[in-house]
Amino acid sequence: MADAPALPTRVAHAGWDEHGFCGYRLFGDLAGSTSIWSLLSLAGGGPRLSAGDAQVLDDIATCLAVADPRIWPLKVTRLAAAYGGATQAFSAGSLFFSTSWVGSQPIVDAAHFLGELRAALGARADDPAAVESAVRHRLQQGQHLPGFGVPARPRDERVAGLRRCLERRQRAVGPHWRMLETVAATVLQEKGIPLNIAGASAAAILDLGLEPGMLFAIPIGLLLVPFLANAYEGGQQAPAVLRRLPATVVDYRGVSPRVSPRACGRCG
Amino acid sequence: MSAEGPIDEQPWPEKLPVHVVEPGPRPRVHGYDVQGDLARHYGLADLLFLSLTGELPPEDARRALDVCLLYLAPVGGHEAPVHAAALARRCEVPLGASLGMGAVVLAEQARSELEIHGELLRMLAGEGGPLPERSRSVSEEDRAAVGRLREALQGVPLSVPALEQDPGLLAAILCVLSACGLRSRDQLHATMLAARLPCLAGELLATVPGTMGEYPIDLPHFEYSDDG
Repeated sequence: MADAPALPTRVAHAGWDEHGFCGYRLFGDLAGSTSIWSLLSLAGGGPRLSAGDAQVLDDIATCLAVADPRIWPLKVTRLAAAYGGATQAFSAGSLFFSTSWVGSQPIVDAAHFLGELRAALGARADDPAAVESAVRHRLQQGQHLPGFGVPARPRDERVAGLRRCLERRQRAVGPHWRMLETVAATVLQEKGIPLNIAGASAAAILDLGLEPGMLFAIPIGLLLVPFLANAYEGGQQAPAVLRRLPATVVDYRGVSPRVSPRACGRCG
Repeated sequence: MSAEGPIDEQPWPEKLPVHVVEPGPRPRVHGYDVQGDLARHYGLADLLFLSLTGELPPEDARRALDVCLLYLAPVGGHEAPVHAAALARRCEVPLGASLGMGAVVLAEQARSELEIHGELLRMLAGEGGPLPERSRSVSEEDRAAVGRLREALQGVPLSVPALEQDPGLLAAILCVLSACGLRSRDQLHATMLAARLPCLAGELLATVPGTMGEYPIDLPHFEYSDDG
């Protein structure tokens, strides 16, 4: 079909009794021995992950499950659920994954920053003094460092929660995590800005052996629970107050009443 | 566990700020009474322009605005937004969800097209200069379409000098819209989406749910490489 050329795919092929998925046989290689995190890693072009790696990702997902419906992306999910459609609400809320401000993309941005910093430092990437110097230099140049800053509170409590989990699993020892601890201390000292959960998650994920460019699917997977929980409950409630707020709580800041040129013309 | 947290303990605004529609029994758009004024004297193209700019279009731009919206409208079933939404509809995805899906992809389509014409948008925003190479006509078909656009605009008292520089069709439309007063990338993005929704909706209404067997599932063919 020359007019519609074939497209290459590394993702999958549907067969008769066996299916291909990212280079593996679905039943022969993966089923029964693979976590969803491993599948998400493969989906993003990454490696298969061990059961221990999956536990780390479970920990990150749990620490990220701050699902208060007032938090902006989840409020959008609640608003979209106001007419009872939980699936539509999840779809609408998931478009928050396209911004670098909140959601999954900050993890990706932080991973790129950490990867780029390690590449720039080369053999000195494990030397805290070299890391500190490089970070100070970037801050002095006015660079924004992804993975820092948290709204509405002085520190990100999720970082402490994740750190405790990683320490219990003896996983707070990887090169990216150790480098991040130095980066975080330097940024806090220089700018007073705390490490956030996106930066901490990025370091923990990179220490699983993933490259920054492979981080598409896993960060989204990590954040599914808060969106799904709010889409579900929001759809069940379908509350009238979210469909239309009372006029008394609306602050109209637009143009005052006026008459159009054509209506004026007809008025004479 | 405490019921208080950072959201509870900080002062936040108590009212929702809104800017376009003044709520009430007689809603107003940017100050104009919809039921008593706009609906009597204006059309949907005017409302679109008003919503995006805060002002009604100048009288000499209204015809050009209509022409451009019509030129933008035909997004076909072979194009990704309609293709995706109609496939979903064929697979019995509810109409509302299919429309929403199509709108998301329409917005992506417009974003991608505007990226291609980024240099043109900067030129239109006031940086000036000749028509960028990427915004020039690439085929005789394109030139003919721009010729038809110019014919449709005959008699419209609107100066669009870039039309003399051999633009491609979309570039020509963007130039005319800019001359009408829709100058920012965001205004053009929203205009493209609004113009294309009717044809997408029409294709969805013409698509019969449950007819997956009529869909060419292997078009185009995907060639799987199992080297991971």
